[in-house]
Amino acid sequence: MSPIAPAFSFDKQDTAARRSLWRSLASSGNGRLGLALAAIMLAVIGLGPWLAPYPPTQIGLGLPNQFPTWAHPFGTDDLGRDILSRFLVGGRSVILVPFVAVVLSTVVGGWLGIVSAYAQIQPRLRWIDQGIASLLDLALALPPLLLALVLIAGFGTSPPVLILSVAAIFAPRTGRILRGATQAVVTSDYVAAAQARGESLSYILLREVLPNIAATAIAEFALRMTWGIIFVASLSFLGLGAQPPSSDWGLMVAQARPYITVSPIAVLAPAAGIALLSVALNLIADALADHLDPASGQPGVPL
Amino acid sequence: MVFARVIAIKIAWAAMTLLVMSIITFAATSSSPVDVARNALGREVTNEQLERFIADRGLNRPVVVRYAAWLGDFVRGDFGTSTVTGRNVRDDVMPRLGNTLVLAALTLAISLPVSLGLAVYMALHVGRWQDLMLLSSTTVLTALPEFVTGMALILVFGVALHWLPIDSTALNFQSGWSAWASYVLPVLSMLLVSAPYTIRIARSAIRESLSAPHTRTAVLAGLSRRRVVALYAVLPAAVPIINTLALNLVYLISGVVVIENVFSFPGIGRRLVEAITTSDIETVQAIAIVMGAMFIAITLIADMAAAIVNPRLRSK
Repeated sequence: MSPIAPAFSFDKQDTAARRSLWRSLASSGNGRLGLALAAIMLAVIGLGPWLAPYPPTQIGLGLPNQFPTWAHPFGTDDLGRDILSRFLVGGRSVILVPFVAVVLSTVVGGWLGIVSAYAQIQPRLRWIDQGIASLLDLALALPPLLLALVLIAGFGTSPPVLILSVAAIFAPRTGRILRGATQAVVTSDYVAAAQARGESLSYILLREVLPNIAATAIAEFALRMTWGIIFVASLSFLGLGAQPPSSDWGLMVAQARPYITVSPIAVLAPAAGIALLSVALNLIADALADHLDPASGQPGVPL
Repeated sequence: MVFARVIAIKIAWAAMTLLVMSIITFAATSSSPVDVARNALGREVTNEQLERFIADRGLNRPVVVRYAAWLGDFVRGDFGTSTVTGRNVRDDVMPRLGNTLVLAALTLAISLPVSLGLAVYMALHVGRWQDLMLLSSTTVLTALPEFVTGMALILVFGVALHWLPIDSTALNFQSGWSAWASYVLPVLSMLLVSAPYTIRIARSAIRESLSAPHTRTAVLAGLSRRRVVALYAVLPAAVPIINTLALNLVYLISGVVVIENVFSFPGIGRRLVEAITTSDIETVQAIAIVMGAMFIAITLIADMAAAIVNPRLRSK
């Protein structure tokens, strides 16, 4: 270990970056609004299953497509299930599936990007960067939704297939962003110093590179979560995500669609849930992006 | 010539992307020969029947040969016959493709002038209440999933106000006004889903060129307001706007799948999802290739348009 203890400075940098990320989130109006909205939605989704007055999948609790009553504040759906209970339980899969998929895509895509950018500065390893970069370019040229639909058509609609498809679509996008962020870091003096000290590759990547692209990675994660929730909810709406009798919000909207004139609230409640959730996350992602690049102020590219 | 070489590379790249798309489609969706035969013939079949079916269809050939044959059929325009519906896939898909293209064309025809107009209006009122109100609406609209936007429109214009039909199934059997009425809400949904993004990009691009020195000079030289806006503010912003429009078009292709399903609109997006739920593999493959080709072609055209408009990109 060298006398210049880099582990210490790494800790300081890391918390400083995180604190200022947090501060700029809390200081922007949109960021605060997004955080508040997200907190409310997460509370509803997290506590929902305990608050639900009836089991979400029990049929025949009331007449089919009943109007709201005291016993059923949101009315009942076409099978006489309690819509409020289904709504309270159905938020979990809306968040969980995209969350796992985005974690996976961030880890895989992130490592591809970091390794690629690190290989770029070493003449002997440049072919690795070129290989990964063209792979990412190729993957990015493919139509995302179509790709997911083809994979689901081939491998079915189980949650693992869903997660892997979404992760496969998002990973190259995250990879390209983090490759760009890493490129700026690996050419810096402290990485050259670490190399000169003879630090191991894993030390350099984990302790020098990773902390310095953490802010970009967090912002990218937030942005991917918003697209992930929209993407997975859309698949569930198409009948290709969550399967009956799940009360996933996307699926609830699709199942209530034929009875929209009779009981509009069965469509309205889950649709509003998804809308609030994705608006909240989008505001947070926008605020984080502004923090990284104050000049941008522009939304990300839709998928 | 550099420019010609750039174009050639872009075309080759697009062709390779399409090839990869076709390989993924074939690899993911074509199941084992025995499964195909069982699906087609039902459960109660003898081994001889299975083998005859497999031999007749050439399913016993190696995967690479089958892929090449499959691709060759596509290139010649033969989409095969669906084992689920028994119909010719091409005859099934083409009329629906027509409906989808009408939907996309209507959306684009309205989206272009409306987004540009709004963007200019916002850029001329930057920071004032009109701009801030429109800007926050675009923020919310870009954050919403397509099906939520579509459902909201149905709830307002179909269920609450009774102005428009709640789905587009009238297109299947009616013509005249009720057929056109079926287009209104899908087109409106597509607009609300795609235009906000274009508006935001165009607004900031136009705003940038409005504050550029050449614009100030034009104003000081006494040019009319209209002339300044058209020649000095909008024209220099053409490159980012074309790029965004292309992204938008590409994005519309996935948006159209969801929107068509919201409205039961008889287009290829709706047919694709139907085909997936009924395991109609031939139809899934055909639509995936057709839509994928459209997606890649639009990206290519936009790339080239951006290169032609922007002289700096030409040399790259």
